[in-house]
Amino acid sequence: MPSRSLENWRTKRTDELDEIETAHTAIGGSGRGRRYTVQQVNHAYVVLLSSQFQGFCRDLHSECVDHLLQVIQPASLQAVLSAEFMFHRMLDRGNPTPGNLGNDFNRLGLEFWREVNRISRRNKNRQKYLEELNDWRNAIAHHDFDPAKLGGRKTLTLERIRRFRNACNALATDFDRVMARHLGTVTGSNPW
Amino acid sequence: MATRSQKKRPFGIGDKVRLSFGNRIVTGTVVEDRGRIGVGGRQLFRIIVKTGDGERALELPAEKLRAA
Repeated sequence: MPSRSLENWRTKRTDELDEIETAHTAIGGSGRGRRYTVQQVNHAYVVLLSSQFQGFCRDLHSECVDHLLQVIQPASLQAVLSAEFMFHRMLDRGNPTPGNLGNDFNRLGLEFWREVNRISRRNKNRQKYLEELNDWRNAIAHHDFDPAKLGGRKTLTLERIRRFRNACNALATDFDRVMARHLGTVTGSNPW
Repeated sequence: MATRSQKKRPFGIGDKVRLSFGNRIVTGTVVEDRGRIGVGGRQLFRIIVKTGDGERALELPAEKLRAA
């Protein structure tokens, strides 16, 4: 059984991302007008993907903290510890970059990326896609398209975004597995 | 079976709540309903509390909160 955060990623969040994918395929016409519209939809898609993945990671972090807190006694310390786990949480305001994810999840008592990379050798490459997704997200949000920061690219294709999305899907599943194993070891009971 | 009142969202954004914070009871403000992502699907709320060193954010299930 997956975490509730992963369940939401696979249902509600996936549905929202599918809607923009549908909008992409619905664009008609040809020539420059169409290319411009497609590029705008691609930009919206990347921003939405980064935002939905951030939401998933933030939810998963909160879900993990709640599991850790429930074994803390006396119960009056639970709020104090919650405040410590939430203090300067990067996922509350920053993008879901590998650095921000490591910063937040490492505080739960594991070396997050080492464990994620241990599950699959492909996760190092997925981590690079995640980094690139967030570079694109920032370029779009700040209207600063420096090819040097965007893997030498000036434009974004649907195929590239699908690679980002596949990477997010695989990472979401592995984040869920890593945290389930970690919480099971620390608390003595399987969280989900 | 859950009654209508049990199904109602226990707290809304902006509500003042009281909670145990170490050896003190503090008042905080609900700033976000995080949804049913807690243990066993319990609903979590994000609360801002004022402490001696400023504002702190924390997340707790409804059962740990009392209306202020």
